[in-house]
Formats: sequence, C-alpha cells, structure tokens
Amino acid sequence: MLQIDIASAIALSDLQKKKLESSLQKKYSNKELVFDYQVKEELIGGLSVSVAGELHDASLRARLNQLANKI
Amino acid sequence: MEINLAQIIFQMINFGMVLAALTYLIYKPVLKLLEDRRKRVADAAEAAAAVMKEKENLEKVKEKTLSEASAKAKKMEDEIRKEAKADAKLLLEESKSEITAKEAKFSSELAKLKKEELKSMESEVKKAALTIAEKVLGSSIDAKKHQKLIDDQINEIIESL
Amino acid sequence: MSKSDIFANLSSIKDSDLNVEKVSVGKVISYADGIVFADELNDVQAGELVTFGEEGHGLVLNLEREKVGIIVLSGAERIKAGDFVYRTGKILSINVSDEIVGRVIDPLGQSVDGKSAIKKDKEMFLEKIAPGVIARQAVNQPLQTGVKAVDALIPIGRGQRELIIGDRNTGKSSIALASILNQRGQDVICVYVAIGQKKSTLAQFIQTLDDNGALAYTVVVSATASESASLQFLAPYSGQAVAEYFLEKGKDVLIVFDDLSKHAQAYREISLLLKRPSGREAYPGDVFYLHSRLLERACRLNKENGGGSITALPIIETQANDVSAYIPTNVISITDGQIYLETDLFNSGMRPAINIGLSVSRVGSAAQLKAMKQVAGSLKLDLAQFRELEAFAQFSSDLDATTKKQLDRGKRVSEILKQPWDQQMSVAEQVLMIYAATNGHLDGIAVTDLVSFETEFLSFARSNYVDLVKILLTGAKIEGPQDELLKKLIKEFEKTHPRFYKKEA
Repeated sequence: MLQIDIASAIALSDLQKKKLESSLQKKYSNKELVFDYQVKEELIGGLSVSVAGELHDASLRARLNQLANKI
Repeated sequence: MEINLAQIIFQMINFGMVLAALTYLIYKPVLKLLEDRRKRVADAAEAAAAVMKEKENLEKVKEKTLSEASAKAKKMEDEIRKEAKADAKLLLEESKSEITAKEAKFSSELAKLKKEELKSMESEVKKAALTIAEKVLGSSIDAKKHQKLIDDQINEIIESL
Repeated sequence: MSKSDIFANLSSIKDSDLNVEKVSVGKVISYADGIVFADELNDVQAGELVTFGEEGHGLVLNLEREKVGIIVLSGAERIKAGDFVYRTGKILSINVSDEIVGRVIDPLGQSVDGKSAIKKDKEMFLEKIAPGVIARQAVNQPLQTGVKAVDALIPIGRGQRELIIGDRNTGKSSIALASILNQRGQDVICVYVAIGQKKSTLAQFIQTLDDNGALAYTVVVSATASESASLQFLAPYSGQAVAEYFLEKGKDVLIVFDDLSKHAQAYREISLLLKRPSGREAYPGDVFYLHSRLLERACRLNKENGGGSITALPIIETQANDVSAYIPTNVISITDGQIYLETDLFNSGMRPAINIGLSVSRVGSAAQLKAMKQVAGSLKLDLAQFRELEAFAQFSSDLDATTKKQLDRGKRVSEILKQPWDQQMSVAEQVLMIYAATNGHLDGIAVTDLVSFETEFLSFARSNYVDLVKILLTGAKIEGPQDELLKKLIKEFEKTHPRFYKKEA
C-alpha cells in the first residue's frame, strides 16, 4: 500500500482527481494506492503531490520560494 | 712721767704675742676663706663659658640640619615637578594618539555601517518584491484561473513523476 | 553593492526557469518532549538539519528502518502530526563574526541580550573533527588564572583541558570566573558556556563580568534550565564553534563549560526519549564520546596553523564528593588534570577550597613560568611534609623542634594560599608571597596576621621595588641580583613594619 498526499489551493474537481489517480496508478501499477486530498490555501495556486517521501511541488508558493533562492 | 724701758719692752712683747695670736687665729682662716671664694667664682665662670660654647655648637648643628632639610625638600620638589611634567607630556601624547586612532576607527566603522546598510537594503528590497508578488498573485487568481493552473500543473506533475 | 546590482539581480528572474520542485520530505508521525519521529525521509543523513515548514528547525539524530528521530530546535509550538519535514542538506552551524565578542547568544547563534543581531562573517560548524596531530604543538605557555593555589601548584597551559570538579557550592564557577577576569589585557578571548543553569545565576555572572570590564573580551553561550534539552545538548558545541572561529585567527581562547554534568543529563534525556539503549546510570552508550569529541577540540596549533590555542575548563558537579561516579571518571580521564574542590575545606575557611593532594595538572608544569617553577618547587615540598605531619601531630603534644618548625611553616604556607575569588594576583605578586613563605620569612609572623601582612607587603613592594616587580612580571628565572633584591626587600619591610614581627621577640 502506498499513500499519496495531494494538496491544492482550491478543491480539485472529480475530473482532475480522476486524471491524477489514473496516471499515478499507471506509474505504480503493482501497488495499491491510497489518495489523501487536502486544501492548503498557503500554496496560493496550484497543487503538490507527495509520493513515497518525495514531494512534487508545482504550486505557486514553491515557485516563489525558488525565485527567492535565486535572487 | 718717765719712760719705763722695762714696761715698754713688756708692752712690745705683749703686742708681739697678740699679733702672733691674731695672725694665727684670724688672718689665716680669713685668707683661706677668701681664697676659697675666689676659686668658686672662677669655677662658676668656667662652667658658664662651657655652657655658652655648647650652646653655640648646638646652634650650629641646628642651622646645618635646617639647611640640609630645605635642600632635600627642594630637590624632592624639583624631582616631583619634573616627573609630573613628564607624566603630563606622556598623557597628552597618549590622548593625542588615542584621538587619532579613534578617528580612524570611527571613519572605518562608518564605512562599514554604510556597506551593511546597503546590504540590508538589498535584502529588504528582495523581501518586498516577493511579498508584492505573493499578494498580486493571490488576488489576481480567480476560480477560473485556479482551475486552469491546476490542469496545467497536473500535466507537469505527471511528466515529472 | 549598488542599487543597479539589485535590479540586475531582480531582472534575472525573467530568464530563470521554474520547474516542478522535487524535494525529499517526510511526515511527522509523533511529537512529544521535543522529539519528532518522522517517516519516509529516505535519504536523510544523520546530523542533518531539517525544517518543519518555514519556521521550525530540527536535527536528525536517529536513523531507523521505518522512522527518523529528530530533536526539535525551534518552532516546536507549530508542529502538527502529518506536517511535512523537509531536508536541507546542511549540517548545523552558527554564524560568527568579530562582533560576537561581548555578546550573549543562544546555542543557535542568535543574540539573546536584546541588542542587535550578530552580523555574519563565517559559518562555523557545531560538529567538527578536532585538529590533527600534525597541526598541533606542545603546550608550553602558561595561562595565568590569577589564583595562587592554581598557578603555583596546578598550573594550566594554553591549549590544556583542566577539569574543575567538586560538590555544589564549593566555588567551582568562582575559579572559572576568576580565570576569565584575570585575562583582562592579555589578548585572550573567553567563551563561557552556561548549561542548565538558573537564569538568575547567569544574569549575576554576566553582571559581574560587565562590572569588571571582562565582558569586552567574553562571549556567553546561554542554555539555561528553561531551554529545551536539545539546546542544552548543543550549547557546548556552539561554544566550541565560537572558540574555533577565534582559533583560526590565531588567537588564544579560554572556554569554560559550566557544567558538563548537566550536559550529560540533557543528553541522557534526549537519548532516553529517542529510545536508545541505556547503560550505566541510564546514560547512553556514547556519553564518553559526547565529551571526548568536545574536549578534544581544545588544542594548541603550531605556527603554520596560526599558533592559536583553545584552553578548556570543563566543570563537573559531583554528589557527596563521589569522583568515581560515571560522568566524573569519564571526564577525568579525558582531561589533562583536575582541580578538586571539597566542601570540608570550603567550610573550614580554605578558599579556594582546593584539595592540593588530589588535584593535578598533567602538562601544566611544562608551561609554568620559570620564576614560578622555581619558588613553587619548595612550596610543594613544604605542603607535602605538612600534610604528612598534620594528622600525626594531632596525637602527640610534645614535638621536637624540627617537626614543630615544619608544622609552623606548613600552616603559614597553606594560609597564604587562601585568596578571595575576586582578587586576582599577578605573577610578580604570587612569586613574592611564595618566595617569602618558602624561604621562612613568614615563620615569625602570627598566622592570623598573614592576611594584612600580604596586603601591606605587596603594596610596599609595588611602591618601593618597581624594577624588581617588573622583572618578576616577565616570569624570568630568579638569579643572583634579583635574589639579593628580594632579600633586601624583605629585610627593609621587616625594619619598617615591626608590628608584624613582635611575636618573635
């Protein structure tokens, strides 16, 4: 079993959830996936997905942080 | 009245005896008394002279000590004066060099402060820029944009997986 | 940096490429007593700094198959179960600059004295391997503490580690404080690490430093009893990091750890909470390494490496004079000697309450000044003979003349080793007093008069024998002419101050 945490700035629509879930299932095809959805306003916009100790953060907050580190 | 030789002789002998007795009994002791007195007076005079002399000596010693002491005091005073002068000079020099050192330190510190101020200003500007960006982003995103953003990002994340 | 640079920097944003950020994270499983257990975080390293979001920091100590044990350093109040724990890829370090002198900092390098933040010059790692053998040099320069008993009998060299050990309230911190105060004008930086102390005690300590002008060359690292165990555990390492910053600049540093028994206790607390196996007295297995790696960083570097030194004065508190307890024996074996303080001596009026018989300095005598070595040799002998006879003399009342003389000498010698903690003495003053005592010039003075004798004798020497005092201050060997002068000085003092010598007549 593999838990996947998905955080987004606003609640995801069913269509969006489905798209994410199917592509993740394809990637981890031999595992049972458990999805946990959260709304985190501090992300400003967009979403982040954490799988197996790795956080894929595409949110605007992460990008701002990247910018902050660059300048 | 006629002169009786025998009586004269008797009188003469008598007188002689009285003279001899007087000489022996009175003249000699008186003479001795006088001699003693004279001696005493002379002794006293001598003693007085000795005391006088001693007094003179003492006075001399006193004068000598006094002059010595005053010389010493003068010398000491001179020394102290000299020392004080040297000290004052040293102090003056020290404070002068201190002032110049302080001046140098002050100006270098000023320069440092200026540099630091600039640096902190830079970080302030960065912070401000980011906060502004955050606020602008936060308020400029409406529901439609949110959806679009999420759709885009889902694709990105799937790519990155 | 000019303004245009800032804007050039900002405009570079335009060209930068922003991707999906991939970072390694874990999730908080549990948080209690300052310890976080987090899962995942697969590639984290032991000793790595991790963050909990924006504010909190933690230090990874335990790596296990299913979870990672983290001690929380800051931001504990915001941690929730399920929070992400981010790797930073950095190990713990503090920012140090010359400005740090005269400041009070916490173990993370933040100022806690209410003054401005400390500017950054260099990042110093808290954990660091001690300098190697090649970079080191033998300890051969003295570090004067200004305490007669220590400088004469248990001398401390620059780069030495000398343990101060004793029960509570025997004057351990006072010796350390005296040593710090005595470094004024010596171009020595002092670091005082307070571990698990009462805030009031520390405040008083800092006030004393300030009143005596010692704060101008001292850094205080404060982890008081109100701080978490993890900060108390880190405090000595931050102190050492500060000391190393000045060591690298070729300076001589004196560092005081007050005290390491509390440090060991803090580490025991952390270890037990991290569920590490416990050993003797419930201390973890690596409690020896905890102190050895800390004290091994005290050293004296050779010329090629700057020639600086770190002299460490760790303090250990014993219970009921028990030096054979776990932590005291450990630290005794790590250090180069110990100053052993005793309650009985303290109560009998012997201050500093140093037990000369049990105190040693393993390298110090090589670093002692020549003049001091010369006079202290016979002092040791006098004291040893005195101790031997003292117990014996209590039984028999009629003693032969030689024994009586030795006893009298011994009484006077131990009397002159008494010294109030706040009156440090220069080398010259110490040599003068010990010379007078060991050469029998005090034998005619009543023991009760020795205190006033000392003050008058020293002030007499200072005002009338300026040149001699100057020579003695350099610590050069006492040779013919100086010896003559010393004898003359004592004779003259005898003539001008007959009241001390009445008893003899």
